[in-house]
Amino acid sequence: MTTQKAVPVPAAPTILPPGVSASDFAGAIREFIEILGAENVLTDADHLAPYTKVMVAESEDLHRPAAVIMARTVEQVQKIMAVCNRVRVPIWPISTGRNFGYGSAAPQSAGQVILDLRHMNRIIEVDPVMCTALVEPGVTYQQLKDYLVENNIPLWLSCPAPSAIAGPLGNTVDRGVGYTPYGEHFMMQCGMEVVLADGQVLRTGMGGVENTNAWQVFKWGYGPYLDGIFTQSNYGVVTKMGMWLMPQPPVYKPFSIRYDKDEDIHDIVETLRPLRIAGVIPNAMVFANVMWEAAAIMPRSKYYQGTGTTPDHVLEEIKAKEGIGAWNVYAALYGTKEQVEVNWNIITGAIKASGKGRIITEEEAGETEPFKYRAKLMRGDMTLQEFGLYRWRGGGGSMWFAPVTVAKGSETRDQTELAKKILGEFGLDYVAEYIVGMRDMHHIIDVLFDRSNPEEMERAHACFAKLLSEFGKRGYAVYRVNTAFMDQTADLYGPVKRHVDRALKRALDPNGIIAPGKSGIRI
Amino acid sequence: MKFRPIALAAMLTLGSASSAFASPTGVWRGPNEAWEKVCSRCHLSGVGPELRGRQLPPEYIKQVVRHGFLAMPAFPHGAIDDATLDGVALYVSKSRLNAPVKTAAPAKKS
Repeated sequence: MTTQKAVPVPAAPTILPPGVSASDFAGAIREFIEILGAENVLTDADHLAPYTKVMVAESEDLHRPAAVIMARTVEQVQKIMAVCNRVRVPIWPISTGRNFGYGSAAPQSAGQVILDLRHMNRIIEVDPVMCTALVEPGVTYQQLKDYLVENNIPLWLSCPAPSAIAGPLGNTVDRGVGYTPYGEHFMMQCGMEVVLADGQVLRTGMGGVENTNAWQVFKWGYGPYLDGIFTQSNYGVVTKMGMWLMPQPPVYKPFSIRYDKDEDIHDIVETLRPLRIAGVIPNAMVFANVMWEAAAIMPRSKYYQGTGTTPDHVLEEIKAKEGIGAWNVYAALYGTKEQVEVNWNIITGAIKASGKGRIITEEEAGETEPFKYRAKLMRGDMTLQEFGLYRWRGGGGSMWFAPVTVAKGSETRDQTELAKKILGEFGLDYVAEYIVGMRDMHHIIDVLFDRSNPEEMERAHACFAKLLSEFGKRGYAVYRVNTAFMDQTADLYGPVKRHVDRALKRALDPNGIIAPGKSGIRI
Repeated sequence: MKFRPIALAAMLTLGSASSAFASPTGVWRGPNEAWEKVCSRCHLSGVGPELRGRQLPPEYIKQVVRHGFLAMPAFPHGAIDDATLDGVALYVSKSRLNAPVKTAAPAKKS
């Protein structure tokens, strides 16, 4: 059953794909309608509007799609590829389109046709024995969670912060992260199905072996390992993805550690890194700063009505009155009662020996935020609490500046100082957390600004460009970036990387029809 | 047109247990499921503005949902269909501030 209203064939779309004539594009639209049905080919302003809502610091006109088409089957995606190749229509595939702060659902450049795969939302298999799942692009974390609950399958998800409306395939192929022991999502991915630009369907890993039952259990398969080239890229349309799920542990013990001073970030890293590498703390723990914590529970207007960077004395007042640390660690233990007890003793011993940090248990935190939503994230539950970040300054502008950090205290101190200085130059706030990976940390800074204020938007754009370049000069680069800064970021990774990216693009998608500009890659 | 309260727990049992589970995209089991699982996570937690008891016009609510507004994300038809959105908008428009939301949200139009 469909509830879409029938959409008439457009006489003249307001935006055309670059280099495609109005009549050719009209022909392509007619072919899309033949393949998908009129209700799945959207060209009117009303239906396109949701896809143009961006948070990046530049005009939505630069990211306005020419149309949105919605496929339901792999065969439809294959047929769409044929049309796009013939007419040279670029398509921008999205899964759930919830890449907030990285470009949302909108294409990297105007005039691309969004291929919305939200309707391909089958949970094809959940194997409770092997703890694996195989899903389509449109499956949301909420849908998968509901499925596990309804079927009494004791497996946990790992989700990014807007878990309730995002989905695992899109997040994983953009190499997003979560907060559980499975928080490095791409590491926990196993097997893909990819529709290539020429219409062939590739199954990666063990997936090409006839009658295999190992597609979701062995990542590497044989020969070159290919899954990586279909992440943060534009070499194919991923239509199925396997993933590993975590068995629900008998005991789950989330906790927080509060630190009073900005400079404590050095000792936090030095104290906790060994515990993370040794697996004593198994999850992707976070170190959130005062503004990140505060933003999750209130707008800054509660303490500060001015514009520009929030003054330090205001932050001190917030820390004192709201009981927030300069840095706030969130981690968790998972396992049997005995395992958790042993590791808890190691952790409390290490904190005591370090001479700073106050541990807060779930019992002490009770129902208070932000502890409550952090505890949800570290067990892969549904929450949107972190949208509070967008209310901190208001105005709907957000771009994640997320440099990779070596998990060393000295480096976190340097990066934090540099980021604060640059953000301060532009009147913006250092709203940050470190998410701790296996050896690295993602230093996640939400560059928040009032998108309804053109002057502030311009300032945020300049600030982000400077963050990229100044960090780049010191050997730091982001792990992922929004659609406005993909080329500048690609440059940081060097000309040879760009050359290889392009060589692969030309080999796999010689007409450049899939997501031109993604990660700075074009033919 | 009237609204029938249905406990969320009862609706959660309706899911298929087949191995190729798919809910019809954007077609919720009723407006209250969409409200519970999406809208309320921000609008009952203080993250987004309180909407209840303000007699906001349904048309305005639908406009904001489709287009987004500042920090509020936009929701395309693939995320919530027109019928469900109609129900959510009516519910929010007619809600009272102190209504027991978890059991009083409408299940479907009847």
